[in-house]
Amino acid sequence: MFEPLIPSVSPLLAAAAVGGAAPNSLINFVPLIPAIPLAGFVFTAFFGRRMGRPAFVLPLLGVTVTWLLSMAVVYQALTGGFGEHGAGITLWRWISAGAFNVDVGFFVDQLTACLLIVVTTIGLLVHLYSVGYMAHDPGRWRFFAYLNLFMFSMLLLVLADNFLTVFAGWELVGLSSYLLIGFWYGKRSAALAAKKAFIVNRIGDVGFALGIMLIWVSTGTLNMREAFDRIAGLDHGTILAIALLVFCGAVGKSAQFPLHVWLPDAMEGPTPVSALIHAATMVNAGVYLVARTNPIFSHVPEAMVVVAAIGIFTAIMAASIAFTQTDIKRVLAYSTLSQLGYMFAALGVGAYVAAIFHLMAHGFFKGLLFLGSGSVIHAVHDEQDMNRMGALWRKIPITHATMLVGTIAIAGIPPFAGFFSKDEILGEAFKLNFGWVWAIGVVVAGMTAFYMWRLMGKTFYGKSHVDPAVEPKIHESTWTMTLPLVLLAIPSMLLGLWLGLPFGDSVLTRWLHPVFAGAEETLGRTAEPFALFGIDGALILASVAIATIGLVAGIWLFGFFRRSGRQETVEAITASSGATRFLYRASLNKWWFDDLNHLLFIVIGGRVANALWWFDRNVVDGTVNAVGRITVDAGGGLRRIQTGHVQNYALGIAIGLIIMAGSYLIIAAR
Amino acid sequence: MDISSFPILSLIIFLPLAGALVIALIPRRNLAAIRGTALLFALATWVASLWLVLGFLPGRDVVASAAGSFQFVEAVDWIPHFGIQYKVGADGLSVALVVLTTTLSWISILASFSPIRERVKEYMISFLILEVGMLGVFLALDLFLFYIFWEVVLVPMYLIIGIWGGANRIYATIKFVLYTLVGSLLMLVAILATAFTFQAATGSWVGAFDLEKLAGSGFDGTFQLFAFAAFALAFAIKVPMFPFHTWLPDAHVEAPTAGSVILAGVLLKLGAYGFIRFAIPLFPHGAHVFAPLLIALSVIAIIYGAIVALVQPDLKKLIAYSSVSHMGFVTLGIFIFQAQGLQGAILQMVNHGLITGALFLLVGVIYERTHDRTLAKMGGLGAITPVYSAAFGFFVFASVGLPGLAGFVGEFLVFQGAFAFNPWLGVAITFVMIFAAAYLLWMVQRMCFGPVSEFLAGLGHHLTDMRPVEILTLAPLGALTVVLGLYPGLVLDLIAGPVKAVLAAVDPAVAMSIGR
Repeated sequence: MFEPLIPSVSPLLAAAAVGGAAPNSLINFVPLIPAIPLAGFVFTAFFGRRMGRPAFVLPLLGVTVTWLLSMAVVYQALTGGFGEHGAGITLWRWISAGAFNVDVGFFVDQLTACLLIVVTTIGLLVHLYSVGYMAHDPGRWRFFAYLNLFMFSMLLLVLADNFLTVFAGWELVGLSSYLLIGFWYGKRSAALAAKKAFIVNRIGDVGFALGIMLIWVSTGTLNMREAFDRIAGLDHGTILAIALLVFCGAVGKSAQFPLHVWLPDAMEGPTPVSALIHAATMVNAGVYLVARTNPIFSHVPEAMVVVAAIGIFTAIMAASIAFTQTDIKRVLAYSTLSQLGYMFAALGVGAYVAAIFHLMAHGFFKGLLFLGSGSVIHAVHDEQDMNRMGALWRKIPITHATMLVGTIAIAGIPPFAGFFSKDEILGEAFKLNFGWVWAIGVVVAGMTAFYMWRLMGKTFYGKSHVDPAVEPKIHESTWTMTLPLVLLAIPSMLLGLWLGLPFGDSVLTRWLHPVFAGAEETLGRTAEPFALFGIDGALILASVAIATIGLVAGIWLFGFFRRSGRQETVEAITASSGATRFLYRASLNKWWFDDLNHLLFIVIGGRVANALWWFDRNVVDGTVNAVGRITVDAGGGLRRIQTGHVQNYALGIAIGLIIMAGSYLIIAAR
Repeated sequence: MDISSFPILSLIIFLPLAGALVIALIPRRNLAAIRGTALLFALATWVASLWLVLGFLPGRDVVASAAGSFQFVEAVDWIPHFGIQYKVGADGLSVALVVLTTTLSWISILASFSPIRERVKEYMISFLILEVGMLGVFLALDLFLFYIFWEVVLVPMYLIIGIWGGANRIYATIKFVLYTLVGSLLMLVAILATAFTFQAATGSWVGAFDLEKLAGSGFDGTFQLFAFAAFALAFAIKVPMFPFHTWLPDAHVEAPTAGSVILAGVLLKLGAYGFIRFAIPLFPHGAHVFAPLLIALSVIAIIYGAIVALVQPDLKKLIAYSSVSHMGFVTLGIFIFQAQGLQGAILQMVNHGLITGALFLLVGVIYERTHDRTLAKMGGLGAITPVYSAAFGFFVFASVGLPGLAGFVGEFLVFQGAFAFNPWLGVAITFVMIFAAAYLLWMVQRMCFGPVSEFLAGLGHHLTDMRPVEILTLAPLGALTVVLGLYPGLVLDLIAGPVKAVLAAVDPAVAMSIGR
């Protein structure tokens, strides 16, 4: 009987090999990649509390299986097992309303594969790390349930073949982020930060949702590949509107100016969450979305300029704030904003491969830095203020060594990962005639090296400022925490050597060529040979030089191993002139964005809402009550209506009968 | 047994009435028997309605006529002199709302066991009669019969708020009844005028109150304007549309929990149903003329309701204003006369019934323990009542419109329809996504997050987590919220036919001659 009602529910059987791919049975197992963490979430959410301490086992196991499966899928996708343009599978028809049809389906191509590597690998390591990090938290089962929910949502986002399903993943990662930021629900600051993250993200989501509506109205489909095929036929203004609306969503999720305000506050969540969600994976969703929709953006270069401008502006603004923050996680948060800005700058100039390269490299080294900071925070008993750290390098050597690797990687020193990816962004920007992006980007590279060394110096080197009561108890974290650090340090060192070489025709470029070839053709790009002893070599030299200058300045001011920093020199420079004092205050107060938002949305918005409520009680309802009162006063007999007896209803019916009779007479008399 | 040879619709409508009669015979002291009987009959009605669904599905794709394609039609002459019949019938829209009603009814009765301790017998009788009225409204195909059921709903609700309500219940219930009565009397006049006009044109009373005969018969344009206006006022008050919404927060605040559940879950849908089933098919020209006004009022309700909800100090008032905003989507979806919009509107009716019904149940749970609903006094429930907090969070996110849960699909279809109708309209209402997140998450933060408030800490062990029976009332709603979120086709498929019928009815090419 329900047969006709469920037209296309035939999971795993309806493998639709799309894109001219040779049928590969592995695609049938792709739905399991998000499904396993979802099952883990549902099970742990219902039974985790009763299971107590071992509740983490199932979620961890599930993510491990997901990782193994993903690696098999990644291998297939990158070796051509799914064909040049990937393969898909459709599960069931989600929404069908007239001409509006949306299927739940998954699609894997080379870009998806790159994201899968980052999401599942870092996801797995963060799960492992959390076993130790959350060992003493009574809500650990809840934590793992939420982590699995996040894995499901993020994998849904990157695997979905349909804009509305992407949007579903998009909102669900927002939910997981909300739950995990507010994990310690008893803390008011955590509750506020969680709410802020969700609402600020929603501002971007409005844009994304409108973009989706415009895509459907103008192309008649929400399937991504179908929509991309039809996009060229639209008029320029429509494509521009779609591109900018989709970018709004990316700005929210990837915390770009002016919606960047939620990410630093999101550090209220437990540190593994900051590493996984707010550094390595979820915040990349915006970058992924813009990269995925490259067939749309390539038709509207002016939209790409907007992307590049927002990206590079965020990069330098966030870097300037990272200079003065003293909370170790906040420094890393602003650093994340800044690096995400690089990725958008790359997308904006059309250096798609460089953007994905940096996404992957950044995922590993920033995940490492965050997990490292968590290990530090653990060691000094939940202290996050770097002014109360120092000289930790000898006491937590593994944490120190791996964070040093992360710092060198993010600073862009060869041959670590960050050098290759950042250099590719800057080099491409210069060669594609975005001189301004390159110039600002180079400055940011120097700033990055400097503030990262500031973090290292204050945390690990010089003299100890740790609470004397805590000092003797400092110890290195357990193996479940240090193992992920080591495992993340390896790609932070070697990823660039693997994916970034040979220059000009790197492994990653070859992988991703089918995904971006169309866009590069639309943009009229022609590949130029790489000139190591020409322009490219000069650009590499320039970016390495500026990174080195940043590092050396950092070492000079903030110390190295036993050598202490020069706090007085820092203060002297800060106080040297009106301009530096202003910059210092601007940086410390995060350019007053939070204050501006408070004024606009809490103070002014609150007044508006209260005024409307006053209007509702006194004008709208006041009118109703006044009408009632006049009626009652006019008919003296009707006063009894306020006595509240049931008989009054009979009175109402009597009035009704009179009106009925009256109207009957009127109509009959015609 | 073959369902079509059986008066299934009458059975569904009058089963609760039978229950009320049985309860009337039970001594008033025997509370357990009274409660058990009420629940039993409500459950029986629910089962019957599910049987209706199973019987309905195979024939649902019958090509829609202007008034829809009704199944299981029963027609008996009632007042033959005026052509008034007892005529009931069901199409997909009716079926969806009937199941919503029967589901929420047994849940509400079960949820009333513990809070209602005074005059239990009268309460249960009122509740069952209320169910009769609601089901009758959704199934009546005769205008006079429809009006009778419409008024039947009013009496028990008046009593439920007025007797078992809060401190200011008299003011609230009188306001509710008078407000609704003003609208429905005008509607009665319009119904009578329609019948007289029809009789004058055809020379016979046959079919003068019959929806299937009247719809699409093409009344004179001017007559349609007046008749539609009268119907629209009645329905707009019931929905409620801005600016007729102020009875709703008062009624919700004073009503007992189950009253609020039914009020939000079903009663508000009566108005929207009236628009779709009666006002638009009968008077399509009138609907066209008034559509811009109703669209404007809907947009105001959507935005205004959401903003006012942001500053509500009382839990129930906050949800009441969120209902004003959410029902604005429904009326907007109806009056843009666009396929996705209308499907979304109907889906939103069902979803809002489930989600807001559940939210009011949850408010009831906390109110029963604290006897307070002031948000400022709450805080930290996450630590004291984790199961409650999880349930609260679940339904709040359903209300926020999280994809995967029921609220999202209906809302997005209305957005999409509005956007296709006019992009700027789409832009204006989509921004409500932000407000909705803001007021709902603010509510969760005040309730569940933060340190435990002094007020709640003072309650000590009285503040227990959810009891099994409370979980039992919420579980079906939660399950439906997930199922409809992942497979909204269950409803969309049912209503595809009626939606086509309504859109065909408002086609401006339909002639307007009767009563000229």
